[in-house]
Amino acid sequence: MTDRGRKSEDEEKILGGHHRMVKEKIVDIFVDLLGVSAEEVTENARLIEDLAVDSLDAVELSLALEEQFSLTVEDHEIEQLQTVSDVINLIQGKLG
Amino acid sequence: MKLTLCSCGHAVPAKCIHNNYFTTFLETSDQWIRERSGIVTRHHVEDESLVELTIEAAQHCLDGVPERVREKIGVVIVASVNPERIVPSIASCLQTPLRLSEDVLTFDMNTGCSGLVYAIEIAGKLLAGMEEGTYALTVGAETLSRMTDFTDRSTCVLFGDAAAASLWTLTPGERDTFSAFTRSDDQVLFTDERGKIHMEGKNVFRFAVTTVPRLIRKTAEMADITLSDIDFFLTHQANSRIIQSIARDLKVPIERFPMNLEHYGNTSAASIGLLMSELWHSGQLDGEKTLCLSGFGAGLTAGSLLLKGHRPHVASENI
Repeated sequence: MTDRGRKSEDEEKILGGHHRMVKEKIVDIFVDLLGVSAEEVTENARLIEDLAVDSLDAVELSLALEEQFSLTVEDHEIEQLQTVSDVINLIQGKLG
Repeated sequence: MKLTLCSCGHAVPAKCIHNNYFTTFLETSDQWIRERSGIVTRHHVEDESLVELTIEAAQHCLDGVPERVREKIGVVIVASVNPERIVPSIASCLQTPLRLSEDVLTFDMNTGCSGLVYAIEIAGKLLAGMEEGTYALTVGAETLSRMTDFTDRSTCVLFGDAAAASLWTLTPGERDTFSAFTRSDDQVLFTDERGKIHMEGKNVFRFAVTTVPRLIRKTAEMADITLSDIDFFLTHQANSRIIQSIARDLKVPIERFPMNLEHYGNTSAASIGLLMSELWHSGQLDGEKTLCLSGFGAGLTAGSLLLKGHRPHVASENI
């Protein structure tokens, strides 16, 4: 294995760990806000159809994400989210 | 000296309207309204005037209070967003029917749904400059049904009519703490040229759930107590989702946030007084309790008044 390969593996581990951390925090937010179980908050779960997120939940979700990750979430960004995976990707993209 | 509650009273119009009424002419449902707001019924005036409703609430408040107390009421403040006439004020209309002294200071005020909290705070400040043993009557009174656009399903299901009165005096003790908030905004919650209410629900929600917890924390800090020391959070009864969010933010059990909006809807300046009156008459405000009253609404405004270690005052004949 080359140094480049070993570094890629390390990078993948770090990125994977980062993804897990972000996901765990987002799952916690959904559980706290919606009263659903953590098992229901899969990455493929659809916000409206599966988790019954309405527009007021969306406001609370954006506020919780902003507080948890110290960033800003615009209304139009929230409106475009369809799944939990979309939420994770939005936050990861903002965190860089 | 601290604000002390002596009595409460309230009045609602006879006509009670269930969510199902709105489904007869709007695309909505009882389930949607309940899930979205927590409201099931509300009361709307038909022939009653706001002044009549206010007098009824004030009479209810003064029932059982010694007659001599009426002579000692030095301040009457009515908080309302839609008095039927510009002049005379609703407050001034109470003097004769309630048999108050002609020396009484009366005025109306309009600070939206923050109205009653502001009125009580102002009453306390006025009492501090008056003779000891003076009382203040604060009333929140609204006929929001007359400001409702019944073609707007996002707002017309929310509002109800009511009046609620509370009688206060000052007693020895640690001063209460109060925090106010104002941010100019005539786009999120306002009345149009017809006098009908317009509201951007999501933005009002966002304002309420971010501002009210902050004010509550501030007043608790000023009083040098923790949130767990507060027995009841009497919050403007706009929407159960707002109140649940505030409780979650403060990490306080929802049981400490009594609610009656299920029965009355959003009655603006009357809502906190209506809740307080029901708690008063059911004995839940007896004994020593720390109470936090929080209003929020048009302006945008908000106010939080913390009554630390409050114990009701029983007015006696020997004044």
